[in-house]
Amino acid sequence: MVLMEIQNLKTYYFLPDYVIKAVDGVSMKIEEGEIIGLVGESGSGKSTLGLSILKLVPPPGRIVDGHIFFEGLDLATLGEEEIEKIRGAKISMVFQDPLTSLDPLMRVGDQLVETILAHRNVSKEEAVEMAKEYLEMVGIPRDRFYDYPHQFSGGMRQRAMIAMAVSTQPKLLIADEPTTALDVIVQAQIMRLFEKLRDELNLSIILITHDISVAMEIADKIGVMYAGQLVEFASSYEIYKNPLHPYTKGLMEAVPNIELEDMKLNYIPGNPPDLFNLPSGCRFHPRCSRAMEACKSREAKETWVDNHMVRCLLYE
Amino acid sequence: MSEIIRVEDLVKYFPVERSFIERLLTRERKWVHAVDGISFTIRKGEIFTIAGETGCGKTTTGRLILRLIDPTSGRIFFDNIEITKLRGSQLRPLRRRIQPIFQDPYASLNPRMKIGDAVKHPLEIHGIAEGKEAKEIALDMLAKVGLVPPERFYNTYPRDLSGGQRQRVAIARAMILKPEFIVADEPVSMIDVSLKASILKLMLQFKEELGLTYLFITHELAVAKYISDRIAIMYLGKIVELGPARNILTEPKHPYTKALLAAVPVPNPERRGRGIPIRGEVPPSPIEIPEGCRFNPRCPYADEICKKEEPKLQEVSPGHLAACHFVEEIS
Repeated sequence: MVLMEIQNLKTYYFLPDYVIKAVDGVSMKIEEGEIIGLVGESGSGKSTLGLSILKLVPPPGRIVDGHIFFEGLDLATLGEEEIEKIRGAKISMVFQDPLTSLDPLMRVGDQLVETILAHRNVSKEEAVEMAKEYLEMVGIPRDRFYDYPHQFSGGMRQRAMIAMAVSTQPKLLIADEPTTALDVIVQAQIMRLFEKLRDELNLSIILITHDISVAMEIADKIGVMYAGQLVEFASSYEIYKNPLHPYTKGLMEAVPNIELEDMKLNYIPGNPPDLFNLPSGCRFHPRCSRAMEACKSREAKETWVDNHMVRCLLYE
Repeated sequence: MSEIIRVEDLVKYFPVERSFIERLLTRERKWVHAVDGISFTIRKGEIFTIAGETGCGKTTTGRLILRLIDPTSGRIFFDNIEITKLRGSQLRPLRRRIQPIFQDPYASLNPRMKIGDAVKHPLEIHGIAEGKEAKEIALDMLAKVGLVPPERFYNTYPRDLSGGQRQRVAIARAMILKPEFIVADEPVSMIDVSLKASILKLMLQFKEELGLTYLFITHELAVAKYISDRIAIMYLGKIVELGPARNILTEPKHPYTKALLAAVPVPNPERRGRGIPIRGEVPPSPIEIPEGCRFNPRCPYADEICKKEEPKLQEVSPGHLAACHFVEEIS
């Protein structure tokens, strides 16, 4: 069952001298209980896409076009009052730095209880018990309920944020670089936690990450973003075995793989473009080894090839 | 092969800040055991990597060798000369031969200094060249690190460059004095993956050209794999395993190295679901170091002896050392 359908979404930032097209015509379907890895480098628009879903794009940015269909609503056109009923309730979000989202002066357990009371019709006692259960679910012992955030390690704070995010029984969790500030062992453990929550709660997860290896560890499907556009979208296995877009191919050859015997490591020449000064035609063409004459002037449309959505003139 | 760096029983403790009340109430001062007795040598011409998680002491080790901070005890030799006790102007000749490259090129470049000035600055400080000559050398260096045309980059500011370009500037500045030894602390951690290899290749290119030796500090073992000759794994201020990169990555002997390697994400969905053989998620604090083996509270193989006796680094195969009481049994 499709949980959310994003259609031709455009989110721009309107600066005095220019317009940054952070998300520029992205379409994507998210199924129930599915983990989507949204992968891209800095400035690819992946975080803005995540923020757009909850209408959290800070000014001077705003959604200028497109739709986000979710449970019969179009989130892209909802007013602030209506989106607030969705935000944190049906769709939750966790960020890279859990410290900025936790109140340092309040016990972790109390913050969790407050969230539960705000979103669910239960008594205070029930909420306390539920809070302890959610802590356990994310791997924090019940007796840490009374601790303050500073008594938690970075990994435990992120687990607490995840507990808070799922305690409202959301259908979709958007996790924006949730493990980027954490060490690799904690990162692996948090990824296992996401898998467990998906299995136990039938939760859909959008995992936004700069690290395609992390996405490959748990995502069912991977969307690759480049300069504000989704350039390829397919199952993780497809992206691994048979990447179609030259950017995805380049990325797969550039990502260090600790298990490969072959010690070749490649890079993509050039730099990602400035989003306010995009190249003509295909945005990737100045860095693309397979660029044709047409790529300089014409932008590719989304094309479906072997269960991949790919945005490249080679496949049109 | 001759050695360029020798470190003997190096220790660095940082005092823990106490509040006024704490000072009145307690006599005992607490210490962060950042580096807690490590010894190793770096051979001329090799890339020696120190890897580990946050707080393991890898960055402090780099700063000690750069002589940016003083050790609590222990000795550091560079080219067979003891540099541990050198101070102030005595360090100047050293600064020319040893150069750092840091993680965040934006933080290590003066935002108000033009790229060209930043790159030629070391030449002037060390009295090697000035004026037009210094500019020529700097332009050559900018071209060499791939900032072409160099004339265009010479008059720009760090803010006008991308992260990858800024790291190229930092490398140009480090290489302009033709150093012998580079301490590179997470030099590609903030670089986008599509460009990481280009920075690593640039570092390798200078290694060939100048016959450089690198101390490479990283938390990314997958990156370490591509460039390291030897790898030391640090945990809570100690080296727990050290050896040829290939041995460390394919036949790890220490339980911590095994866990660390298992946790590295692999860009291959067919490799999902690997177990991570470790208990708990966070290393204990470097203030309260566990008794015995410091890894024992998290180690799946820990036994009684591990809680009492700290294991020493012992050779498990030629050049491959591990500090574990059960190194024979578990491998």
